[in-house]
Amino acid sequence: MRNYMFRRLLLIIPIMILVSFMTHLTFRLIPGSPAHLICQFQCTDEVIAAIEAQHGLDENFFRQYGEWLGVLPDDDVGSTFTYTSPGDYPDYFREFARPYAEFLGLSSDDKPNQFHGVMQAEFGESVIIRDEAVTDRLQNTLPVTLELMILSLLFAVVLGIPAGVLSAIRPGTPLDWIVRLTSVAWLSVPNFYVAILVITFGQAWFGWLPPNFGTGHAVGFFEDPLQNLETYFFPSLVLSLGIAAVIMRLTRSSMLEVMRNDYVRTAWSKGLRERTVVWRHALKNAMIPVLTIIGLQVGGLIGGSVLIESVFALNGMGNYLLTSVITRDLLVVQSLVLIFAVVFVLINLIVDVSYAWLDPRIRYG
Amino acid sequence: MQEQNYWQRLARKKVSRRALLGTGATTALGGAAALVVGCGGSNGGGQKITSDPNRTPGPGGSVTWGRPVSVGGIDPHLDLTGLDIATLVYPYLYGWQPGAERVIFNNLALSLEMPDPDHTEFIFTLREGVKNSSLLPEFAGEDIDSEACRQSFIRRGTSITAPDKRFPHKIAGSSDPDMLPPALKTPDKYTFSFKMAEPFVPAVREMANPTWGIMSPSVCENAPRLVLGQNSYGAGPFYCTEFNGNERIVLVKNPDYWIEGHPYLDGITYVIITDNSSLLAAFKAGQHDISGAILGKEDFDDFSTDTSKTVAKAPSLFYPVVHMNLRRAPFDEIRVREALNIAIDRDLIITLVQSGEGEYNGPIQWPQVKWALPQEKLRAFYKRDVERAKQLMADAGYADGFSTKMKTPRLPGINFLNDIARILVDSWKEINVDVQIDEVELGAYIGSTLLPGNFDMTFFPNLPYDEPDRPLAFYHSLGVTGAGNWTGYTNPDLDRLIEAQSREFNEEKRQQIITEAQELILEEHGPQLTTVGGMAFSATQAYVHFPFEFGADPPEDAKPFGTELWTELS
Amino acid sequence: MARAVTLELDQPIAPSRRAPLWLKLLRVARAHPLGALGLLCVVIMLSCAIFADLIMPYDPDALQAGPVKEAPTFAHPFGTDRLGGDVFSRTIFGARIGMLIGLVSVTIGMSLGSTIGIISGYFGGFIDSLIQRLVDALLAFPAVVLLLAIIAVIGDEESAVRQFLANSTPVPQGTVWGVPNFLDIFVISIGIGVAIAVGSARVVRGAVLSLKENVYIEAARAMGATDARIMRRHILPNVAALIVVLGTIFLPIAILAEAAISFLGIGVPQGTPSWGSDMANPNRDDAVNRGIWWVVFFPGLALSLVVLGFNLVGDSFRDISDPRLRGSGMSGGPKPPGL
Repeated sequence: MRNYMFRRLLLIIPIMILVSFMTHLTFRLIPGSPAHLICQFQCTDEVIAAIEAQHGLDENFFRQYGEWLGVLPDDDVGSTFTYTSPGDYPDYFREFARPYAEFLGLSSDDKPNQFHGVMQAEFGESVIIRDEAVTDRLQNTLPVTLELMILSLLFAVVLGIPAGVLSAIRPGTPLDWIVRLTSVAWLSVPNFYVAILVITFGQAWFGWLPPNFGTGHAVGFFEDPLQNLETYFFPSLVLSLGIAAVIMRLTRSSMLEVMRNDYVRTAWSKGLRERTVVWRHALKNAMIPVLTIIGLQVGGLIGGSVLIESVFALNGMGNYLLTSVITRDLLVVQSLVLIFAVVFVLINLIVDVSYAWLDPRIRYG
Repeated sequence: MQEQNYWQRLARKKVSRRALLGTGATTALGGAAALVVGCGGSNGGGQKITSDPNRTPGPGGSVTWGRPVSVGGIDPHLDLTGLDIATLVYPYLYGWQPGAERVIFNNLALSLEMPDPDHTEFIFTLREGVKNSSLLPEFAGEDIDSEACRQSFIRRGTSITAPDKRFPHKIAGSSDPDMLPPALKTPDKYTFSFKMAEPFVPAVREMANPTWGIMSPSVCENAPRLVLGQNSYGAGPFYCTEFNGNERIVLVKNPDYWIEGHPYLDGITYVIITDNSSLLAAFKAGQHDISGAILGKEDFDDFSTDTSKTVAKAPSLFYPVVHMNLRRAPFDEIRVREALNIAIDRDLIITLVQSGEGEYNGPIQWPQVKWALPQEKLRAFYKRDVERAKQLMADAGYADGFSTKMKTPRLPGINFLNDIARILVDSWKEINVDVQIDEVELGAYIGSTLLPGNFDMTFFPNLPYDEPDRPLAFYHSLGVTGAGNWTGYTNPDLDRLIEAQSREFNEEKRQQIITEAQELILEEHGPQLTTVGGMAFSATQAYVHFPFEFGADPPEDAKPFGTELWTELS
Repeated sequence: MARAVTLELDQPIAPSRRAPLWLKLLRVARAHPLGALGLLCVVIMLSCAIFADLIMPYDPDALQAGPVKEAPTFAHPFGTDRLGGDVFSRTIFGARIGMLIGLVSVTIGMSLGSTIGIISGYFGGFIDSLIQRLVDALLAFPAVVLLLAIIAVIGDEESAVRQFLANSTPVPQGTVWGVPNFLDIFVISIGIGVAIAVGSARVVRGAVLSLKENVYIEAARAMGATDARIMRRHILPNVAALIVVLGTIFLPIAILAEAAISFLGIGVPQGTPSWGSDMANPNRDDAVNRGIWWVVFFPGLALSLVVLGFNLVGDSFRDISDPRLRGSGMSGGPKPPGL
C-alpha cells in the first residue's frame, strides 16, 4: 500500500510540471498583447511597452515561465539568479525556500522575498482589474466553489444511493421504472437549463427568486449558517442532479450484481431479514465502485460550477474563470486553469488511493 | 497478510440497526431542514416598501447599488471603468450642468476667473480647509490646496496610461510631458492657475470630468506604492473599505467631509453582476436599492405602476455608429456610402430596439439639443429609400451588390447593440449588400481592429460625451485620440471647421460653425453612418432618493455627486 | 471491451434469419421501448437538421416574422422573440447548428484521438510513454476548464490558429449549409474536438495494444509491410467500429458542450440561432424578468430531448450488447462532465 501510494505520488510530479508548462506555452502563443486591454484608445508603442514591462511580459519565454512558477526571482535586473560565482548558489535556494520556512516558523531574516510565483501560492495579477492579485480573489471565490461542490456531492449521495438501492431490490416494479426514468432525465437535461427554468418560472409565476440572489457576496458558513445554506441550497441542488443520476444508476447496477453473488444467496437462505441482507451484506460491497464514481464526478462538478455560478450569480471560481475568459484576462486564466488542474489531479489521486485502500485486489495487485 | 479492509472492520464493529436508522433519520431531518431553509427563505417580491411622503432628507442608512460592468480600478486619473466610484471618493474642482453647459462651484473651486479675452488663462480660487479623510491609513488630514491641484493635473496629464490627453497638451503647448509642470502655477496656497497656448473651449467641460480628481501632493508622489486602483486616498464624501472589481465595492462615509452633515449615507455597496438578467432580477427582488441593469421601456412601464419603485428616464447619449474604411473599396465611393446610408431602416430600430422612443442621430447625438441638427432635417435627410439606394448602387457599378464583413466588439451585457447590428444587416440585404457580422473580443477589437483601421465596416458605440467637440473629433483627420482617425477620412475644410469651433468661446458663433461642419459631414455619407439614439431608464426602490431626477440638470445649489443621496431606511 | 460490444451487437437483433428488416426492428423496439423512444428523438433531430429548410416556416434570422414577444400561437407554435423572430424556426435551425458543430468536432476529435491512439499503441516504448504523459497532462484539466482555456486561446479574432485557418486552409469562411460564419463554428469545433481527442486517444490505444499481438499483424510485418501500411490497412479497419461507437458517444457531448459555451457567451457569435446562445441573454433576460419564458424554454427542451435520445439509445445498446446488465440503466461510455 505504501509503495503504491509512493509510486502514485511520484507520478504526480512530472504531470504537474508538464501541465504547468503546457498551460504557460499555450497562453504565450497568443499573438497580440493584453496591454491593449488596458490602454484602449491611448495605445502607442510606448504605452504598450510600459504595461508589458509592468506585467513582466517583455521577458523571454523561459524566464516568464520561471517567474510565474516562482522558481526564478521576479526582479529582472541583477537578480539573485544571474549569479557569477558558485557562492551565490545557496542564496538562491534560501530565497526560494523562504516562504516555506516562514510558514514553518523557521525564517529569521526579514529580507523581502523575490520569488512570487505559483510555488509561493502567488498567482500573478489581473490585467483588467489593475493591481488585483489572483490570490486575493481566491480567498473569496474558492470557499464559494468548495461549498457548492461539497453540498452538491452531499445532495447527490442523499438522492442517489437510497433511490438506487430501492430500485435494485425491487427490479421491474413501478418504483424501479420511476427511478430509472428520473435518472436518465436528470442525466440528460443540462443543469444550466434546469437552473434557468428554476429562476424563470419562479420569477414569472411566483415572483420568487432563490434566497440571497444577487447580493454579490455569499455569507460564510461560520458567520451565519442559516443564511449561508439558504444561499447555496438551490445552486447545489441543481448542480447535484446529474451526479445524483450517475450515482443512482451505478448503485442500482452494482447492487444488482452483488445481489446475485453466492454470499448474498447464502444470507437469504440463512433466513436473514431483507433489511439485514441488503444493508449488511449487499450494500457494503456494492458501494466500492460507487465511491470511486463519486470521486470521478468532481471533474464534472468543477465544470458544472462554471455554468451554475454564472446562472445563480455566485462569485466563485467558475464565475471568476468565465469572467476572465470573457474579458481576456489571460494572465488570470492561465493561473486559474493551473489551479483547477492541480485540484483535479489531487482529487483523482485521493480517489485512486482510497480505492486501493478499499479494494484489496488493487492494493496487492 | 490478513489485513482487514474498512468494510470488514466496520462489520466487526456490528453497526446496530439502531445506529443505521439513526443515521438515516439524521440525514432525512437534515434534508428536510435544508428544504425548509431553501424554500422558507424565499424573498423575491416579498419586500414592497413604499415611500413615506413625510420623510425629509436626513443622515443615516446605506444603499446597495447594482453595477453591470466590472471595475478595473478606482484611480480617477487612469481608470475609465471606475469613474463613477472615483467621483465619490475624490474631490473635484467644480461640478457641471450638462444641459445648460455651465459650471457649478460646489466643490474645491470657489471661483474661476478667465481675465484675458481669449479665455486662455484660468485662475481658480480654492476653498480652504478641505482635508484628506481621517480614515486614510496614511496622509490623513492633509490639506487639499493649490499644490494638490497642480500635482494632480501633472499626474493626470503625464501618466502614460492616462486617457485622452488633448487638454493637458493644450496647457503645456506641446505633447512633451516635461512641459506640463512649468505651465501650472500656484501663486499662493489657495490659488491655482495656468495659461494655455491657444483657446480650447472644451477645457471648461473637461475639468469637471471625473478623470480630473484632486489628490493631495504626497498621495500623487507615492501613487505607485499606494495601489490607487484598489484603494481610495481622497478627501471626497466617501472612503473605499473593500474593493473587488468583479464582485463588490464597499464605500463608507467620510466623517471629515468638508460639507457639514454630508454625505447623508453611511455607506454605499456596489454589487457587480455582469449578467443583465440576474442584475435586474436581483433589483426586482429587493436585493439592490438602486438598479444597475440596462432597462428597457417595458421595464420602465412595469416599474411605473409599482409604488415600491421610483423610475426616471432621460435621453441616452449612447451613440451606436457604423464606421467605414474609406481606404478600401467600395467605401471610397460616395454613392455606395449614400446607398448604405439611406437603406438603413432607422424607424425599425426605433420600433424594435427602443420601443418607439428614439430619435435620429446626426454627427452629434440628438440629446445635445443645443448642437445637434434639428430632427426634421435629419429625418428628411436619412429617409429610407431603397429604390434610390439601388439606383445609386447601380450607378456606382455595384448593381449586384457586394458582400463584406462588419466587425463588432463582443460586449456581453449590452445586448441591444447586437440587435441593432442585425437590423442593419437586414436593411442592407434589400440592396443586395450581404454583410456578415463578425464579433471580435474587445481587447483585440481595439488593439488590432479599430486603431490600425483593420476593417471594412465596423459597428461600434462611440463613447457618450456631452460636449460637441468629441463627436466631431471622430471626423477630424487626427481622430479622437489625436493620432489619426481610423477610417482614413481626410477633409481639410472639415478639419478647419472642427478646430475653429474648439477655439470659439462665443456660443452663437460656435453653434454656426458646428452646424456648418455637420452639414458638410452629412453630404459625405461617411466615414460614419449614424443611426438612432433612444432613452436611458433608471429605477430605484421608492425609499431611496436622489436630490434631482435622473438625467436632469443638477440645480444651481446642488452639492457634489452622492452627498445628497438619502434613504428612508435609516 | 469494445470489440466484444460490436460483435455481440447483432445477436438479439437476428433471432430469425428470415424475418424482414422492419419486423426485426419492430421486435427490438418492443423489447426496448425506451431505446426506441430515444432513437425517435435522435431521428427527429437529424431530420430537423437535414430538412430544416423545408420544415422552417420562417427564416430563422428574419426580424418581424410575427408580432414582437408573442406567446405560442398556431402561427408561431413556439412564440416569437423580442425582434419578432420565430422561435420555432430558430429551434429547428438550432438542430442544424448543433449537428454541424457536433459532427465537425467529433470528426476532428476522433481523427486526432485515433491517430494519436493508434500511433501510441502501435509503436509502444518511448513514443507511447511520451504520448501517454502528454495525454495524462491534458486529462489533468477538467473538461470544461480545458474547453474554456482552448476557447480563450484560439477563439480570438487574431489568434494564430484562426489566421492560419482563414489564410492557409480551404476551410470555408462564409456560409456553409445555411449556417453563417462557418469559420467561427469551425474554431469552436476545434476546441471541442481537442477535448474529445484527449478523451478518446487512450481508449483507442488500449484496443490497438491488444490488436497488435494478433498473428496477421506479425504476418504482414514479415511480408515487409511498412509501419504506416500496417497501421492503415490492418489496424485502422479493426478499430474503425470502436471509433464509430466512440464517436456516437461523443456526439451528444459535443452538442451539449457547444450549447454550454454558447450559453456562456463565448461560443457562436451573438444572434446565431444556436440553442445555447438562444438560452443566453438577452433571451434569458426576457424570460426571467419579462415573463417571455418560451424564448428559452423551447431551445432548452430541444437540447434536452436530443441528449435524452442519445442516452436512451446508448442504454438500450448496452442492454442489447451486455444482457447480463439488462435494465441496469448503465449507459455506455463517459458522461458529459458537469453538463
